[in-house]
Amino acid sequence: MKNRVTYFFLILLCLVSSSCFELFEEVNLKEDGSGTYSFTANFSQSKTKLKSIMLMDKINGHTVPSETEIREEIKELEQLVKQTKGISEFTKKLDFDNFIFVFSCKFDKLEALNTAVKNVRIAKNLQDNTHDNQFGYDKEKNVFYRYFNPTFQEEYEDLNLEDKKIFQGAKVVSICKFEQEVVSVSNSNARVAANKKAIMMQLKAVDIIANKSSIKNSVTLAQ
Amino acid sequence: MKQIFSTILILAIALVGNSQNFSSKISENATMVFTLNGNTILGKVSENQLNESAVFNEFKKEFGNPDVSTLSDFGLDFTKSFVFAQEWDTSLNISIFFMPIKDEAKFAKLIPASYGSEVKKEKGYKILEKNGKKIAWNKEFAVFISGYYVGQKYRYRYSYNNEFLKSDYYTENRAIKQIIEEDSENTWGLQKQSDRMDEMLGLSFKVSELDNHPEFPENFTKKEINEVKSEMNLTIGANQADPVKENVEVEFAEDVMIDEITEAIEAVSVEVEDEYNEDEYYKNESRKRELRSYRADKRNDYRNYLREKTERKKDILTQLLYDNRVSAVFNSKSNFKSITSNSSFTNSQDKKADATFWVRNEISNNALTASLLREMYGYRYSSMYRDLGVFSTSLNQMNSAYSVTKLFFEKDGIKFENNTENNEFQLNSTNNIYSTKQDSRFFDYVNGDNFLAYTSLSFDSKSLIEVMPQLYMDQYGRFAEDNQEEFQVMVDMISIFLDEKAIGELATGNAFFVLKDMVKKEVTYNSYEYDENYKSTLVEKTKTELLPEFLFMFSTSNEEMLTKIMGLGIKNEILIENNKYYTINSKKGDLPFDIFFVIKDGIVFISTDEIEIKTIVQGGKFENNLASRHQKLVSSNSQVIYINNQKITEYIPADFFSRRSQDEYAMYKEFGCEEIVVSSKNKNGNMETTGYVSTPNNEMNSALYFFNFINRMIELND
Repeated sequence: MKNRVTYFFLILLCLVSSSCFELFEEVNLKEDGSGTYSFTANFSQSKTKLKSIMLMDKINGHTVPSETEIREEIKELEQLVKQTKGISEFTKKLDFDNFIFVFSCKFDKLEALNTAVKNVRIAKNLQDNTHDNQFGYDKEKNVFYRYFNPTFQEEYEDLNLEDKKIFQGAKVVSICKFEQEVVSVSNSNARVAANKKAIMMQLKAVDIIANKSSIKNSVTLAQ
Repeated sequence: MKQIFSTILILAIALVGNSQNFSSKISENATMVFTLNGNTILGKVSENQLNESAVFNEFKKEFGNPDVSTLSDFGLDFTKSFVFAQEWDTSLNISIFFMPIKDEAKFAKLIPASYGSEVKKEKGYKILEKNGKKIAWNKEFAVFISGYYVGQKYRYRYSYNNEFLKSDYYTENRAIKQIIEEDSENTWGLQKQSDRMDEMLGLSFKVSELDNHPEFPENFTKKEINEVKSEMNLTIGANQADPVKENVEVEFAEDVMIDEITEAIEAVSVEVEDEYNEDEYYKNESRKRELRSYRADKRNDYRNYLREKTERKKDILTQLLYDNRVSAVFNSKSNFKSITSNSSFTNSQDKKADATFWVRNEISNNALTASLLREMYGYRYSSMYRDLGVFSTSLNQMNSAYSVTKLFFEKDGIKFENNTENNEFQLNSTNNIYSTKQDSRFFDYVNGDNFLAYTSLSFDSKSLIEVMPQLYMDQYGRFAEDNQEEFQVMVDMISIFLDEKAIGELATGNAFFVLKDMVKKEVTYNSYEYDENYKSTLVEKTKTELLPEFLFMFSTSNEEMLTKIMGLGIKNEILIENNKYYTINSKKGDLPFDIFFVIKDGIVFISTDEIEIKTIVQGGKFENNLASRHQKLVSSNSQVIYINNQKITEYIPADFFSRRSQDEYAMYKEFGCEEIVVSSKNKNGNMETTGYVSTPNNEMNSALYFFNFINRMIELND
C-alpha cells in the first residue's frame, strides 16, 4: 500500500509538472580545420519532473536508469570518444541537481568528430549509419558543412503520446564560430552574428523530427 | 479498445443472468474462479438497455454476423450464471468459460457461421476449433476453452549448444580476416567464402547448407502426434486425472544470448577506429559484415526450423490436453475431482454479490508460481519479483491461502470486498502486526476535509520485523529449492541480529500521509542566453509549477535516536538545521522540492510547507481537526486510502492530453466518480479489505452509471 501511494503521488507530480529541454552544440573552427566542440543537454526546466521520475522504477513502460547507470553509460561513451585519433582534451560536466550535462573536446580535423560518432554507433551495435557524417570542412573552398539526415520521424510516430510530449517544448540550438567572416549560409534558419564570425540556428525539436526544419547547413567563409 | 468493449459486453451480458451451478465441472486444480451472479443485477441494467446500447452495437460490428440484432439471438440463457475459471497443471494454463444455453438451435447456427470452422460431433457434445481455441456445447451449456503452455519440455530455447549453431565471434573474425587476405581480389562468392571458412574452422558441415531442411506440412502429421503422445506418456480420450508431470531442468539460455551480444559489442569496441576515412578499411569492414550476415542468415534459418519443430509439438500437446478437458466437462468421469470439494470455494459463493472472484493464493508457494513468473517476466522473473519489494508483496498479501473478492453494484457506488483466508502462521502474524490502533493525535494536524487524498497506516512494526525474515524466506526461498537449508540459516541469523524492539521504537508503525493541495510555486531553472556574437551565458530563470503540498506524520518512541540520525544528516550536508526544525535541501538531496520536518511529542512531522512546520513547532493544531467520518474510518482500520477524485481531477491540466483524449478526460470529469476509499482491517488474523467508489447520485444505480459511462466512451471513439 505504501509503495502504491508513493507511486500515485509521483505520477501525479509527473502529470502536473511540465517537461522541456534544450540541446545546444557549439563548434569553434579555426582556419586550419582544427577547433573545439561542445554539446550541452539542458533538462533544467524539467528538473522537478526528472527528479520525480528518478525516484520511480518505471515510467510509460520504460525502465528508469539510476544516476549510477547513467554515469556508467556516459563513461563508456567517453572512453570511445577519447580513443578516437584526432580528439583530445575531452571534458564532461554532469550536474544531476539541475540536469545539465556538458561535453566538450578539441579536434584536429572535423572528420575526427565523425569518426567518434561512428565508433559510438558501432559499439552500440546500431545498423543505421546515416548519421555517421556530422561535419565537413573544405579548406580549398573555405566551406564548412553541417550535415544532417532527418530519419527520426518514423521512430517518433511509433512513440506513445506521453513519450511524444517530451519533445513538445524542446529546442535545438546550433552555434558555429569561425576565425574568418561568414560570406553566405545555405540554411535560411541560420542567423549571422554581428561580428560576422558566427552563425546560430535555434529550432524546435518537433520541427526537426517532422522534417519541417533542419540544422543542415553549408557556410561559405571569406578567403 | 474493441477487445475491451467485447469483454465488457460479455461481462454485461453475463450480469443479466441467474445463478447456475457449473462448479462441479471446474477442476479441483483451479486457481481462479470468477462467477457472475446475474440474478442480483437483472433489475439494474435491463436486457432492453443492453440491446440498445453502444456497447452492444460495437460488439455486433465486431462479431460481424447480421443474424445478431439482440442478445437473445445468441441462444444463450441469460437467466443463468456465467462462470470463468483458470486451471493449472504443469503443462498448461487453461482458461475455461461456461455459458448456459437457452436455444441450442440458435447457438449452433450462429457460432459456426461466425467462426467459419467445421463442427465435429463427439460423444455427448459438438465441438469446433479456431486458432487453437475450442468451443464445445450440448443442449444445456457451452464451454469456451483456451490457454497457454507453461511446461518446459516444448519451450523453445536459444540453441547455443547446438553444434550447427555454435559460433565464436573471435575465431570467426580471425578466419574472415584470413579469407579477405586469400581472396584479396574479392572474386569468391559468399558461399565459397563461407565454405572456406568452415574448412578453416574445421567444421564437419557447411553453414551454407544449413537452410537445406525439410518443410513442415500445414497440418500435424500422425507421426508428430504419436511422438508427442509417447514423449509425454499421454493417453488420449481419457480424463487427465493426473496432470502431465515434467521434470525438465530449466536452462536460462537467454542469459547466454545476452552474454554473446555483450561479447560482440565488446569485440567491436576493441576495434575502435583510430584512422580517418580510409577506403581500404571501409571496404574490408563491408566485406566482413556481408560474410557475417550471410552466415547469420543461414544459422537463423536453421534456428527457425528448430523453433518451429518445438512449437508444433507444443501446439499438438495443447490440443490433446484441450480435448481431454472438454471430454471431462461433458462426460462425467468417475476420477474427475471438482472444486466443490474445496470448502473455501463453496463458502465464497454469495448470492447477494453481483460477482465473486475466488483465488487460490497458496499456489504461489509452489513451483507453479515459478512457471507463471517465468511466463510473465521471462528468465529475469526472480529479480523482477524481488524488485517489487517485500512491502508490496509479503506484508499486504502475506501469502494467504485463499483470497475472495466480491463485487456489489450498489445504489450510490461500486463496492468490493476482499477477504483473505490465512493459514496458522499467517493468522498469528496478521494478529500480531495488525492489532494496533491509529495514533489519534495525528487528527489534530489535518484541517477538516480540506485535502485531496490521504493514506493511513497502523501496524506494530516490532511484530512486522519479527516476521519479516520468515516472509523473505517464503518469498525467495522457493526460487532456490536446493538451498532451502542455507536460506533458513540466513533467516535465523537475520532474526538474531535485528533488534525488533529498537527499530519498533524508532517508528512504531503508525503513519499518516495527507496530500493537502496542489499549489503554484515559482521554481528556478537554468537556460542559456546569447549575445550579439553568439557567446552563450548560463542564466537563472524562473517559472511557475504546480507542486504538491503534503504532510506526513509517523509516531516514534525514541526521539533521542532519531535526533542523532538527524545529526548525521546535518554533518553530511543533506540536512539543514533551522533552529527547531530541519530542512532537506532539494539541491543536495534527490527530492524535487524542499522538505521540512520536526520531531515533536513523539511524532515526526514531514511537510512541504515551511509555515506549517513552524506552526507545529509552536504547538499549533487545528480546532477543526480531521472530519469525524474520516476519524471513524481511520480508527477502525489498519490501512486506509482515500482519494477525492473530483478535487484531484481539477488539478490535472486538460492540455496534458491530446485533443482526442481531452474530450475523454472532460467526459471522465463530468461522469467522474466522487471519492475512492480503500480500507483494510484485521479480523481474527485475516485481512478484510473494502473498496468503495462513490458514483454521482443522478443515476438509478452504480451498475447503470458504469454502463452509461462505457457507452459514452464508445460514442466518443466512434
